[in-house]
Amino acid sequence: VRQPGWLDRESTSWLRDGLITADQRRAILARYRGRAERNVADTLTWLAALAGGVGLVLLVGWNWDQLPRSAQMGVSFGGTAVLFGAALVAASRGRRALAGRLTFLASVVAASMFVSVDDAYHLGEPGVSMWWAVTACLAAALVPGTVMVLLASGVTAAWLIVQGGGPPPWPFLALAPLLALAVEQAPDRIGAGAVTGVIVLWAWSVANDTWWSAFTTSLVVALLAASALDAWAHAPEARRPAFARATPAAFFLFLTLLLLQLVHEQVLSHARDDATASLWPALAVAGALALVAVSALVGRRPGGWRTAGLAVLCAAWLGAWVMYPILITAPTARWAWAAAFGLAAVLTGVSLVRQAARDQDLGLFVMGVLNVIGFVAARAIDADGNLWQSALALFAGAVILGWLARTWAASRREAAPR
Amino acid sequence: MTRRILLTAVLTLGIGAGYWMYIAWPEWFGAEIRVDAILGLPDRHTSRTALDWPSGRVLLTIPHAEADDSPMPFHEVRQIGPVWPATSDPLRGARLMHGRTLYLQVERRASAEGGSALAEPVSISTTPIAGATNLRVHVTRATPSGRMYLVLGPSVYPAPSTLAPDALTAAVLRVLPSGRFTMVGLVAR
Repeated sequence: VRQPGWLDRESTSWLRDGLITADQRRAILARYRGRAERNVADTLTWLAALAGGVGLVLLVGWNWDQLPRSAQMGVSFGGTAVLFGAALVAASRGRRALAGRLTFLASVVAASMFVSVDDAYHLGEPGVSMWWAVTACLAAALVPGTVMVLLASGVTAAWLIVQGGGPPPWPFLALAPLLALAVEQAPDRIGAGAVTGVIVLWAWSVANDTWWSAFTTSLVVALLAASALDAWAHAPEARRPAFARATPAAFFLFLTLLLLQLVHEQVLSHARDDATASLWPALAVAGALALVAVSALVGRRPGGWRTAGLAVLCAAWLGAWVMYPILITAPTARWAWAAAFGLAAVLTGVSLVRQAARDQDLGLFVMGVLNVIGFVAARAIDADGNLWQSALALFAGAVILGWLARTWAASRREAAPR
Repeated sequence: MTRRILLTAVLTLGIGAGYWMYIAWPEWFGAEIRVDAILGLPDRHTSRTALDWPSGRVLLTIPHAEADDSPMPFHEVRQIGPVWPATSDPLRGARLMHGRTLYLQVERRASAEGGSALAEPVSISTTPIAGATNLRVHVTRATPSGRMYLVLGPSVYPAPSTLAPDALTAAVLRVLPSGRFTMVGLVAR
C-alpha cells in the first residue's frame, strides 16, 4: 500500500539522522497506512453521490411541465422515499459509509419535493429553500458528518440569500441550534467554520435590513455577544466545543464588516438619518462585552487581561460609532473619523493574529489574515480609480501581512519542542 | 444509525407532505375569484411565459408623497387602519414597507369586454377584513410616492398552448377566509 510521499521521505531522513529506529519508522508508517487512499475514495464517493443527486434533479426537470401533477409529486416524494429506504437497508446491513452517502443523497433530492409543490401550485414566493434548509439541518443533526453539515450550511445560506429583500429570516433561530448540534456531533473545523459563516450571514442580513428597529437589532447583537461570551468563558487550554471555538473569530469579523460598511456608506457618504436608532444595539453589545471583561478578570483565567482589553476596545469602537453622527459634522473631521475606524478594523485583524499566535490556532490566524485582506481590498476599491490611494492601501496591506507572517513564524519557532 | 436514518426519513417526508397539504389547502377549500394577469411572450429556451399582475400594483395616499412619473398604471386603494408607517419621511416609510405582509381586499367588477367579472383591488390593511375577499400579499417594493408592488402570483408561467400570446387573460385564484390563496390556472377573458 502506498504511503503519503512526504511521510515516506521524512521518515527516511529521520532514520538516517538517527532520530528514530527502523521499528519506530515502521510503526509510524503503519499508522498512516492507506489513509490517503481512503481519503481519495471517500471524496470520490461523496462527489459521486452529489453528481448522482444533481443528475436526478436534472432528469426530473427535463420535460417537467409536461408531466401531470400526480406524476410530479410521485417522482419527487417517491424518489426521496426510495433513497431513504436504501439508506435504511444499508444501515441495517452494517454498511455505515454507504448509508451515510445515501442519506446525503436523499437530503439533496428532498429539495425536489418542495420544488415540485411550488411548481405545481404556481407559487410566486420562494418557499423552497427554507423548507429544504429545515430538512437538511434536521438530517445533519440526526446523521452526523462533516459533509451533512456542509450541505445544511450551504442550503441555509442559499435560503438566507434568496430571502434577501423579504421579511427578516427569523425562522433561522430555530435552525441555528440544529446546526450547532450537528457540529457538536461531528467536531470539525470545516463544519464549524461553515456553520459560523451562516450565523454571521444571518446576523448581517437581519442587522442590515432592520438596523432602524432598535429591538430586533439589539436582539441580534446581544445573541452574537452572548455567543462570544460563551466561547471566551473557556480558557484556550480547556476543551472547547468546535462551534464555540469558531465563534469569537466570527464575532470580530462581524464587527469589522460593520466598521467597513460604516466607513464607506455612513461616514463618507451621508449622515445616518436616525442617530439614536443604534443606541440600544450598541448598549446591548457594550453590556455583553462588559460581562466578558469582568468574567475574564474575576475568573483569573490565562489571558484574562488580553480578553478584557479586547472587550474594552470593542466597547470603545461602539461608543464612537454611536456618538459620531451627533458629534461629528465637519467633512474634515469625518475623514479623521474614517481613518480612526480604519485603524480599528486593522487592529481587529492584528489582535486576532496575535491571539492565534499565542494559542497556536491556525483557524484564528486565517480569520485575522482574511480580516486584514478584506479591509485592504475594501479600501483599495473605495479609492475608485485613484491609483496612488489604492497603491497606498495595498502597500499598507503588504506591510501588515508581512508583519503577520513574521509573527506567525516566530510563534511557531517558540512553540517547537527544544 | 438505522433509527437515526429512519427518524430523518420520517421527518423529511413528513415536512414535505405537510408543506404540500398547506399549499394545496386553498385549492381544495377556497372560494374562486379571477384577477387580471397579462401573458407575455414565451421564452424559447424554458417554454415559460412572463406573467404580469396589474392588480399587484397599488397606490396609497400618503403624507409628503414624492412625485413619481412611473408609466405603469396603479390601482388607487384606501388604507384600512394604519398601513403606511407613521413617519414624515416618505423614503423611510417606503423602506419600512419593504417585505411586509399585508391584506389586499378585492371586489368583483364586470369587465368592459363583457366577459367574466374580474376582482380588482379596493383597499389594503394589516389584518384580514371580515366580510371582504382578502388576499395575503407581500410587498416586494415600495416608493416614496406611495406606490407598492405586491406579489400575487408567479412572474413566469408554463406557456399555455391553448392561449394566444397576446390574448387577454385572467388568473384563477382560490382564496381562504384567512387570505391565503393559490393560483389554479390561467383562462382567456
